[in-house]
Amino acid sequence: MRRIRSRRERLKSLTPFNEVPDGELIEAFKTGADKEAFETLILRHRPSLRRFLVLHLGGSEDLDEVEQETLVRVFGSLGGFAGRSSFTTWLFTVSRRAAADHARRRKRDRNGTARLVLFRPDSDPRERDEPHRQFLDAEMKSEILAALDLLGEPDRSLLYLRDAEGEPLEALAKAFGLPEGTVKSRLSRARQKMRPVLRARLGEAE
Amino acid sequence: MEIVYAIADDRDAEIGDALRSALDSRATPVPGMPDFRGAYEEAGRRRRSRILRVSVPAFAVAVAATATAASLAVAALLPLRSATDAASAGSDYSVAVSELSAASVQNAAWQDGLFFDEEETGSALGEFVSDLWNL
Repeated sequence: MRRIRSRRERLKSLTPFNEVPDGELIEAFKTGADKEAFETLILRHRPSLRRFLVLHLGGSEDLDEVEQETLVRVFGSLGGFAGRSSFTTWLFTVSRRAAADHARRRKRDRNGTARLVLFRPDSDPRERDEPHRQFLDAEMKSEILAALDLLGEPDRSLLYLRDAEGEPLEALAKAFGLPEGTVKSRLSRARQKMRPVLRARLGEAE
Repeated sequence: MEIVYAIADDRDAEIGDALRSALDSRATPVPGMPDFRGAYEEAGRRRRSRILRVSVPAFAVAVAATATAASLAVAALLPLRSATDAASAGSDYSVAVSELSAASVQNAAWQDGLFFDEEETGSALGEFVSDLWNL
């Protein structure tokens, strides 16, 4: 019997903590059968969550605060999670709301005059000490982040969730309240804007 | 069983890899797990405290207003009703107070931005009103 496995499935199978599916961990959390279930679930998805929050907040110190706020909301609401979407779709929706609430509070604090610039061109000093993160050089990362900044929302989130996290189109359409065709066209436009940045830099490297 | 790997969707893998790599450089996880349990409990304490602070005055006003209206209504009806009817009027009165207080509390809570969403608001208000009636 031949079975076609998508790239998403393959990537998921290679991630840590892959022994227990999300749904089983959620049930274990709900019933209290496994006190570590929530931590396991969060550890599994934390890297994706933090990347997604960077999209909304940049690399600011607010990231840790909003991550904690997201986890508090997830912890408080997971008991009512009905499983109509995947856990990751739901997690990204909760974190998007937490980031938006945070941005509103910030805007109120600053009297709402300045546009939020997510990504500054200078590379983050933390990455200099982490050679394993050097898939792309620091300059290229800055260019990609700057290009992302120009995309704006919701295109930025859609592009990340689809191309980097593999969220299904249908789930994205539902989460963002957009028709599936609109999601597709927004993705297409966003990719057109990102490709020249990548091509120019990868072309130079070859 | 033979497994064949294939890209079975319309994603752009190159862009996806580039985004992950670029965003990872700014998303370096801090060591350890955030204290979400402690923060959740603290948020709950703060929210309950704010609900009581904001809503009790609104509740008191609502009770007073409803009591006045109900007293007038009951006073007008009393000459015409038996003692049993008066007891029924009392029952209606408590329902009216309950509804009015819930609406006032809900309004005050939303105006103050206490809740994240409608579902949570409804649930917290239900508990709150229920607690008040059980005092």
